[in-house]
Amino acid sequence: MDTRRLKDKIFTITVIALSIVAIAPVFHIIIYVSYRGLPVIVESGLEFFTSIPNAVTDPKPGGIAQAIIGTLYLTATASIIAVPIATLAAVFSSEFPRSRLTHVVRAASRSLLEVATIIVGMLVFALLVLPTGRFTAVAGSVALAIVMIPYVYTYVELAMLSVPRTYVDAAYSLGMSRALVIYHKLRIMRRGVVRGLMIGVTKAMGETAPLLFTAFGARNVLFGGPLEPIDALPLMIFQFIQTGYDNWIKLAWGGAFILLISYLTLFIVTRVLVKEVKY
Amino acid sequence: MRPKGSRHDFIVFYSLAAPTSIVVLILLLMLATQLGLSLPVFGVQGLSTLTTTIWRPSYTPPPDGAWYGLLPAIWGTMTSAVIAVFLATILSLSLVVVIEEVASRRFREVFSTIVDLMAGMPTVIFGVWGLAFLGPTLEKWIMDPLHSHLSFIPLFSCEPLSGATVFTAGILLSVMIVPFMVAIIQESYRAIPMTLKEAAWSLGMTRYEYVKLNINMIKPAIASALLLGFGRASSETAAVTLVVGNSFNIGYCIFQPAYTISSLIANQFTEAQDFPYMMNALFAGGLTLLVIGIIVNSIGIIYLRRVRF
Repeated sequence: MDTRRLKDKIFTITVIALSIVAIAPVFHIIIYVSYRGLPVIVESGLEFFTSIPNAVTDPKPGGIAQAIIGTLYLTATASIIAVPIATLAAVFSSEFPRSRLTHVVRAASRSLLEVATIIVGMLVFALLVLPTGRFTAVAGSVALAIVMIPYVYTYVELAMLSVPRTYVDAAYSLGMSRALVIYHKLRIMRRGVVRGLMIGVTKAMGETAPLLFTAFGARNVLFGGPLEPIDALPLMIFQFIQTGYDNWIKLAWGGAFILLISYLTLFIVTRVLVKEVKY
Repeated sequence: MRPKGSRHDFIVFYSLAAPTSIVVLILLLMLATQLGLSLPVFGVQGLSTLTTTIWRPSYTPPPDGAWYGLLPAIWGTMTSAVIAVFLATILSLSLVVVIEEVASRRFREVFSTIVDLMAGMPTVIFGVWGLAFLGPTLEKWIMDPLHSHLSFIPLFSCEPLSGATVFTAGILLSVMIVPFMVAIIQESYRAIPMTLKEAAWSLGMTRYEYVKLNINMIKPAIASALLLGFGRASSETAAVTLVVGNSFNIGYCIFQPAYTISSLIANQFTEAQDFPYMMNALFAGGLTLLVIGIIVNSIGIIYLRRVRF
């Protein structure tokens, strides 16, 4: 074999090996988290989903219901705040592409995507926690909404821009007003809009850093209301895994398994949705 | 630009402009808060907040009692991000080559799906895996052997006391930023015109020669991926906090526990309210993160625009 061919062979084998190294962790993570998390859920049984964490001295770990409720509450309220703002902003920049505000909002959204999410937490802390003197679920919702906005904005804008020009021209030629055309564009691209929402929700659901100084975590009640601190799955995992208590570390693994399953489910649902967006 | 057209258009423009401005306002508020709340500490300690290594919370305000130097955290952020980007560049280039040139169409789909799956995974999951598995594994199989055989190299000179080190953080971050860098490199790779690719094949090049040529054409995109990857790695919080060890160390050895700016904030922010100026010092850390982010991301985007065919 001449040297060129040999070089080529070595190169091919190396890149394949390195690619496997790059993607192997994701499989190992899925297996490892299931291996550590599933036994905990089996041990706790139904209680895992219905009760709050037991005391560290208790023989059984108890449950993470407060974290599941918290994550559902926070992502739902964050979506309610983020989706209208992000969608309207996306409609604006797709409708008025040459406006100066469009350039500014695109740059702002790009920057928000890159900003460390802990800085989002610090911002909301300064705006809502410092003046009121308390950590609240509302602060957590706002922080997650800020995390979601750039994602929803990006995907909805993409969806709006992909509506064929001929459709829009046809709509105008029928004498439709601009507002009506926008409404119909959103309607035909609703799958794109839903996809943006899903990606935002997936992101918000898994965030830890923005909640540290806003939602703060509360583990003695299932749900304390919007003006009290609230727990969330990532927050509980992050804090419990660092404690030295067996019971709480177990709950962290159980929670990690639930979070992983929720993420995988949302990932698959989003995939299916995207596959069906066709013209 | 003022909207042209009917009165109706005018109403649509302004009713949409209001929510749009909120997005911009959030970013401005963020900059204003970080700047405003970090000014007090700069007022007392000056710029040495960024260049000193002592971190001494106290009820007596600085400079007499307390002192808040961010240098160890800045150093930890830089070191872990450099390790991450170094490894992730090699891994993501390999992945792009395999997805684009080696794998069959079916495997290509599989690889891309896995990369997407990694990209969105909650970071705390990487964190618990890093804490319980990656750290101890690296300590036993990589860090201990390197230290015992190559400890004359400054990088490996200190004994790893646990799995939680700058090195572990770097490795974990590299796993996390690979999908992000793959996306950037892949986009440019796909933009190489077919005619150029076909011309290269028609010269009878081997795959190695052909890929080398293509990679050379998208060098600016790779530089951009490097910078944007660095931005991602330096701003990661939850996963890093769990594996970096969280102690004030500075030095060339990568086997010691350290702080990054984000892990320092995550660990100390809640207690910071009790001590004068401590919270402001942490906001100064946040400001530093923001500034680093703005610089690397802007240069990264400039590089990306240089890819032209």
